[in-house]
Amino acid sequence: MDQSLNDIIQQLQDIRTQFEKEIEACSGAEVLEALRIKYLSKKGIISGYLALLGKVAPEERPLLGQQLNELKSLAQNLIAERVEGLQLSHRTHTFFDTSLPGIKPLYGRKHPLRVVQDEIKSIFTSMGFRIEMGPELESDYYNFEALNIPVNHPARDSHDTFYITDNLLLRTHTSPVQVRTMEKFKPPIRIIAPGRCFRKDAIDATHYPTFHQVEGLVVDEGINFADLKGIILAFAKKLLGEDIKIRFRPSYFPFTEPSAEYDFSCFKCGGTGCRICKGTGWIEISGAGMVHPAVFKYVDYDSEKYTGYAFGMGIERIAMLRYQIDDIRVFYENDLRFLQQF
Amino acid sequence: MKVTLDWLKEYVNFKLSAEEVAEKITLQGLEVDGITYVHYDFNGVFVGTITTVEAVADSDHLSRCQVDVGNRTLQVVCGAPNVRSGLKVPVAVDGALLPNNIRLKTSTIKGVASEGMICSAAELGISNQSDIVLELDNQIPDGLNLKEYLEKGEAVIEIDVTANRPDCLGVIGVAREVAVFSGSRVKKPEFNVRENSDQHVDELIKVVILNPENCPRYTARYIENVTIGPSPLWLAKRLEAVGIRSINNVVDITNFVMMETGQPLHAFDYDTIADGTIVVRNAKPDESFTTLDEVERKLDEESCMICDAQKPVALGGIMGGLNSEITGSTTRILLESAYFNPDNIRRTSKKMGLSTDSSQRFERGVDYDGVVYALNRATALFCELGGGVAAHGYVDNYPNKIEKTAISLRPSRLKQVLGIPIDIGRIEDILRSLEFDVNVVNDVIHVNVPSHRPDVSIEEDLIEEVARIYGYNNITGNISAVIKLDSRKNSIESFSQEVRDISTGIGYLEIVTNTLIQKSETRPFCVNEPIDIRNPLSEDLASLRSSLIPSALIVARWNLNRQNRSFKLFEIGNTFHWLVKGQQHEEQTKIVYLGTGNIREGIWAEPDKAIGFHDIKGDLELFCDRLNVRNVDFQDSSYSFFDHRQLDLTVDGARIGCLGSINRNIQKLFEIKNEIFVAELDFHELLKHKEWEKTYNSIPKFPSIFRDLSFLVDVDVPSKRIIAEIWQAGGEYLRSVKLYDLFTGKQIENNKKSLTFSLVYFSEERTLTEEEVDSSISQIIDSLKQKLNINLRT
Ligand SMILES: [Zn+2]
Repeated sequence: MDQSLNDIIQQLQDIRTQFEKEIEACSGAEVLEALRIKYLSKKGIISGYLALLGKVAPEERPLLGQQLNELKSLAQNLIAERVEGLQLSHRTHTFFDTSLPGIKPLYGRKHPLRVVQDEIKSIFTSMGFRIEMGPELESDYYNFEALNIPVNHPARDSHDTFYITDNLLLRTHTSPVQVRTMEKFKPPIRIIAPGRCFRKDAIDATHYPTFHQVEGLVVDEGINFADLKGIILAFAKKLLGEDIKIRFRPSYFPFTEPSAEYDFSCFKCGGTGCRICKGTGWIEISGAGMVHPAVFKYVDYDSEKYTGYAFGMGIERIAMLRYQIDDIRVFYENDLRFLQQF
Repeated sequence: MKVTLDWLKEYVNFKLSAEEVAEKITLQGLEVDGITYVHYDFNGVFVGTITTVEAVADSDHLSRCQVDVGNRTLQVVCGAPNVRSGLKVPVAVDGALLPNNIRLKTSTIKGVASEGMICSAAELGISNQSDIVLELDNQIPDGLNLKEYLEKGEAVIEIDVTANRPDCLGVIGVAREVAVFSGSRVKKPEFNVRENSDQHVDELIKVVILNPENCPRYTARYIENVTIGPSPLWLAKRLEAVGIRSINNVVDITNFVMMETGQPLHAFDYDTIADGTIVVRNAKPDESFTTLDEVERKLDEESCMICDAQKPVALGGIMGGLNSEITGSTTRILLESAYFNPDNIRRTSKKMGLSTDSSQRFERGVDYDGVVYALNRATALFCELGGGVAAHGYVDNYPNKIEKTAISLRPSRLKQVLGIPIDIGRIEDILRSLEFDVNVVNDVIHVNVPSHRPDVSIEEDLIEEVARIYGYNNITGNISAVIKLDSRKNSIESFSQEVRDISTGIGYLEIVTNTLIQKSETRPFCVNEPIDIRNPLSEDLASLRSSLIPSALIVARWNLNRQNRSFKLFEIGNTFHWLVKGQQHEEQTKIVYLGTGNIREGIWAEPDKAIGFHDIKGDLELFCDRLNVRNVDFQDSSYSFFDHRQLDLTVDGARIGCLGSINRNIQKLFEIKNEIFVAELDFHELLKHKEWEKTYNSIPKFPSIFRDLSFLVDVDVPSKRIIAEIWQAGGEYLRSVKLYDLFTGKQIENNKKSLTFSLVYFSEERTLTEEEVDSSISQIIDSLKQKLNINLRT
């Protein structure tokens, strides 16, 4: 044994320093492979020292063995690390197309009529209204008679009604829900009733045989016309903004007295006059009024004690104005290219 | 109802433009549909006076006229019988343009030069009168451009009169509204009837009313010596402006007075009325009658007939009869002005499908006190414009006098309804301006309603009258009202919102479709009797849908025909069917889902993966899970509109819907070629099974053990059976069984499939040992082997 253990350990340290230097400088997979062969192959530098292990004194073997193993695993780890690093950097060099469109999950959309209806519902529920519903296939009694529109009343002319039998019809408005609600509950009543209605109108850009309304009804002691105007104004502002103005015009509905039509100031031109408001600055919305005492009689409410107001509005009309849709038929065609816009 | 500005000015003084009047009456409650200006379709026609008339040689009817048109005199050849010296006429000069693009040139007729044309009313498009030239009023100066003269000031206001205001179906009624805001009062025209004092009406006309409930009042006059002829220009022009064709003087006068007063009149040829007797009665069973429009109408026992001593002569208040109408040779007239029961007129008009200017007024209620005024007004005009003479007096058969409605108005009630107080003096003024009789006693306003306002019958009506004149817009909205919450919960509404949120969340587009559908399209989906509409708009909208599936298929077809190939749609809507035909029906709310095409259309990562049966099934499973509807299962079903891929969806064993693939017959019916999957659920059944409350389940504290098992199974063994068996044999710690992989193909023998299940075990009390799980696994394997002859795949 011509070398002392210390010498050998010193040599191993030099090898380690040298290896670290070389691997630091190593720039490619081929050089790295050459390095592995140089140090770790069967005929490599570290293997050469392993052969020495049998030749040192038995008491020195553990220390040398430990030193050699450390060096070997260090070399292996460093090479493996570099190989991995090289592979990673290799990947960044092949083209990865980040510009491909993102993969979107499928998401549905709500129909614009429902979007508008939802918004109207949430405005009124935020003002303490509850939602009621009624059947679409309605009796003559609820659709007409209990609303003070007896048989042979001329007001029936303006309701082009689809009949199933003499007494069964497709409701022409959501107003029957007023009667149904008052039959079910005692005041205070504070409801809106959204729903589908039907009129026998020939189909064109502004008429469709089915359409949607929202009915409102408030009944209690001390409810009056000024409250009605207040609620319509509050609704208009919430729907269309603080600047909106309302206008009431006297009108006629058999189930309200006094009756009114209400208009909103044109939300396109602000009231100066444009194509949408036909130059008037106002847009007709719908009807309203104080519940007629005859209607209270049908539901057995004391009209001296209770007063109430009712109002309506057309969903299609508001949706058409809001989205500037000029043909009502598109709502019912349900073309994807239409639905996907909302 | 159309009125012209000039016509209104006959009865009330005001200085506003048509636009200003429209604005004011709108805010007072008359809805204005629009303002138009009278337009005549000719040019180059001037007013002239015929100075000389000579016969043209070689002609039996042509005349050579010299016409003074102001600045010059024209020679015109004319064939009309009424040309005469001194007559004021319209003359179309060289280059004039007449309706239908006829351009006039000077010409030579029978060797005589003609420098223009004297026009008839028909040639100018003013009326139908074509056999004589139009005779103009003498006051019109020569040389005036006739078009400018006719169009001047004739702004037409079209009013959409609501059903409660029959008074505004007459120009005087509209004038009353104008009078209110212009601060004046309506002046009705005054006139004298030219009567023959030797002849009394009672000797000529007898009126018997057998049905006073349907005809409360019948008045009549006798006029003789009437010459039927053209109306003067002012009358023709006035009627034409409001959309009524000028026919002849008698017809025009009855129409004019109706338009003026709102009272329909009917003129009979007196010589056709047997015994000069009018009998008003209800029709007899099976009686029929031919009205003026030459339609034979079948009557019923409630129709009110006007008859003479022998036969019916008019369908009362609706239309006259062919047998008694005015003709060109009529000289004696029986003029009717009556008040008919509104309900009865409406009923008959509806039943006959016959709505006329007359019936529309009677069914809303005419002015019962204005009947005689209109009778006399028309009689006076017959005399003035038709050369007639009336017999002395008139018949007024009025068995049960209609009393004016008396109502009281309490100012306190007005404040209760309107929310603002209005001074009692102001209330009185408003009501008086509307011609109500007002009398205030102890702060209560007692009112007699004028006869032309049949709509006003209760206190609230008076409140509306006051409010509309006071101005709705002078009542300030109360935006700070105290709100009493109506806090009763509506679970249907919140459930519906949830359904829509989840459905859009899993990729479905919401659609809204027509409830009305073609019979043939709803029939295949109807288990019960479908409901048809008695009076459909058209054949393709003649039924109510009994299922939402056809509605969704119609939308699918629409889109497929427009290159939209992949989509998922949903709708919440109502369906209808009979429980007992004609007597008892059911209205149900359903939810429909439809999917077709590729799962992710336009996504480059997986372009061609088509929506399949199990995608829709999975959507339903997820949907029910999100809704917190538990115990969902699927059962075999046999719907005739699906192919073999179909199931019922059940909850707690109750059927609440179905899903499947549309079969070929349905595809053919709807002209669809694509594969389409649909599901339909019953909204209320689903709602019934929804658990509103959720309670927290604690997360297991001890680790779970996961095992995968692959089996080789005959292809026709349903996976559901194997899963059920695994659960059965798995023991108490088995917590989850999921089908993890399914494959068939080369590696697998024929008619077999490989199923891999993922199993999860845990205990809430302790950590399970591998041995415990192993023993469960071997029980599962044994059980599958024994019961289903299924082997573990090795
Ligand atoms: Zn505008």
